[in-house]
Amino acid sequence: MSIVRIRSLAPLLMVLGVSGLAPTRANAQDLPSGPISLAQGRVTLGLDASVSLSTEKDDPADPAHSGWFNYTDYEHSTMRMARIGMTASVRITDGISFLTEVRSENGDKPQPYAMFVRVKPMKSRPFDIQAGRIPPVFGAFSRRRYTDGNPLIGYPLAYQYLTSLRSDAIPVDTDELLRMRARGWRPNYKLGAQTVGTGMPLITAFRWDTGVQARVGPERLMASVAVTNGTLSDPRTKDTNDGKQIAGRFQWQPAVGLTIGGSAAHGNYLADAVLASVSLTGPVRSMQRAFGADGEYSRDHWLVRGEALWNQWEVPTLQPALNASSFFVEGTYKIRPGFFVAARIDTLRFENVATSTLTRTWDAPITRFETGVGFYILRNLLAKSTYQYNTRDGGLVRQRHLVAVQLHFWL
Amino acid sequence: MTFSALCPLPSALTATAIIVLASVLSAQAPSPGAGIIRGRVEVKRAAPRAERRPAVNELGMPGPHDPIDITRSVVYLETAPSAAFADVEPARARMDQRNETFVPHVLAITVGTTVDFPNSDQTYHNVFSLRGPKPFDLGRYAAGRSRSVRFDRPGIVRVFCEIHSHMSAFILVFSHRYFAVTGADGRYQIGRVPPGRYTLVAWNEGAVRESRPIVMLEDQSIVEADFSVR
Repeated sequence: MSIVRIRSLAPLLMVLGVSGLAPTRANAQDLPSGPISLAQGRVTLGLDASVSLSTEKDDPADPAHSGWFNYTDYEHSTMRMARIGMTASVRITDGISFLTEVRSENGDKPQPYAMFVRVKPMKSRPFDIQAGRIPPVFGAFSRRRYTDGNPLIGYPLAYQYLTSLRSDAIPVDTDELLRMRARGWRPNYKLGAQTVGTGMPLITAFRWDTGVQARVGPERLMASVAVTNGTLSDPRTKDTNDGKQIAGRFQWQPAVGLTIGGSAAHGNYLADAVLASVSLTGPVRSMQRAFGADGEYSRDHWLVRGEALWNQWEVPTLQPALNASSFFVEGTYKIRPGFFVAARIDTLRFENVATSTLTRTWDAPITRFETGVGFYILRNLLAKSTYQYNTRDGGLVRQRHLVAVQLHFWL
Repeated sequence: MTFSALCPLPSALTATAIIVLASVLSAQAPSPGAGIIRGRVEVKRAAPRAERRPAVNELGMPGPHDPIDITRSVVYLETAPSAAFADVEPARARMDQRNETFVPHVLAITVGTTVDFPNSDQTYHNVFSLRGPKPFDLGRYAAGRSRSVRFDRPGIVRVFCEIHSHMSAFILVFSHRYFAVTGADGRYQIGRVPPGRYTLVAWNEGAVRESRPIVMLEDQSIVEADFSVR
């Protein structure tokens, strides 16, 4: 670890150090557990810091043993990550707030994950507008709080696993596409960018898009629509094409504890620079379309969540469009105060494409099972340990077992 | 009686030992000549606000929640006549969940008391406590439902909601009945205190703890004791 990296992690280590010392000086639950409030509540600051370690490490120098199952489009493994984030809310008036979240992963330069203005024009009406780098409208997982929203350490495949498609480069034909099966970590194609880059997940949970979003209705029956620069798989602060994404979501709570949601999104994902490199006739096909359904049911000490997603990417050089689907279900059960068990079964499937000689799925289908335990050392200090198993129909590494631990502190 | 969370050094075990020792040292049965300790606790420090964590992941403005009343204090005798420990009768108390706030924010009870936690909101709550004399987790239950916990050991119980991080409350569990929660005006009254020498303690949220010795004489009916908590 470089000196720069150690310096970047210093705030995180300080946070964890304080949390370890404090119980000797005061009652354990008397540690600061709420956000920092300033200016008579107008400014609220939150913090979260986590460290995850796992038994497996991927290394570009050792491709025969590297599966890249848990890598993100920020090129970090979710199972081996030090992350620190700070959230802030500034209440300008009762109806206008500014919110931001700045994160640093593995000592990288801090990035604004969220940065937007929230306006509630009518005090008595459940109607809000948000503009800037906004929370995603589509699906449910990507809006879960990082701190206590994920009962496991790994992420659902649809929100993290890198497929072999890129937004800045495309294959010339299905033969080239199939050569990149299970190579989402480093796909490269003849058309478009020739630089090293990662593939795209169906929906990224690690970057938020920039645009405007409106929500109407109370939590019981809510609808939301957003217009953004990027797409689900490639959110953008600065647009790389002329198209905008339109995404919408409705949410219904027929009973307390039961939430049902449906989402749809539609937008151009390919950069203009890629399209310029292709000789095309007819209308340009560069759309990402997605539909999702999600549900959550909780009662007593149980919490069960699930999502089903269907995604389509149009590639100008390929016919038909490339389809993928994903489904996961997870459950959490609290065994005793502060102690829970959780499990998730998760799959990501791809449709067949045909070449001159064979028919195969355009990327390697993958299934993931993860189970683990969590223990609240304090109300806001959580230790987790999980076991994860991945199996994939392609690539040099087709199976991967790993064990991971995570320590997480937040205010 | 000493609480570990009020005085940083003694652990809960030490506190229990002090309770037993104190009860022996000051053993004296309540007499017909028992008097009243009363006074006022003035909270001078700025009230910390219980804010939500910045809701960056929500699609709209979170709904309002009631502010927490942290002006309530608990005044109690640190030592008590031994007979007072036998005088404790199991009771029933209530801590409501209303507008995403525990009501009351501070509850003082005797050992053996069962506390009901009704949910008066239209959303789920999940009341829990991780440490202290009675760790518990009531799970998620809907509006109109109630669950309860019996507290069999003295100490301070920090109560939280798993779903709403800005919700918190305190339950102080005593082995004797010589305590009182201050009213909205800061006034309190502890009745039927037998003659003797005591340490009177005022506790306020955030581990603020003021104490002073008091003497209740045989022919005295009222002892006045005011506190100023900073």
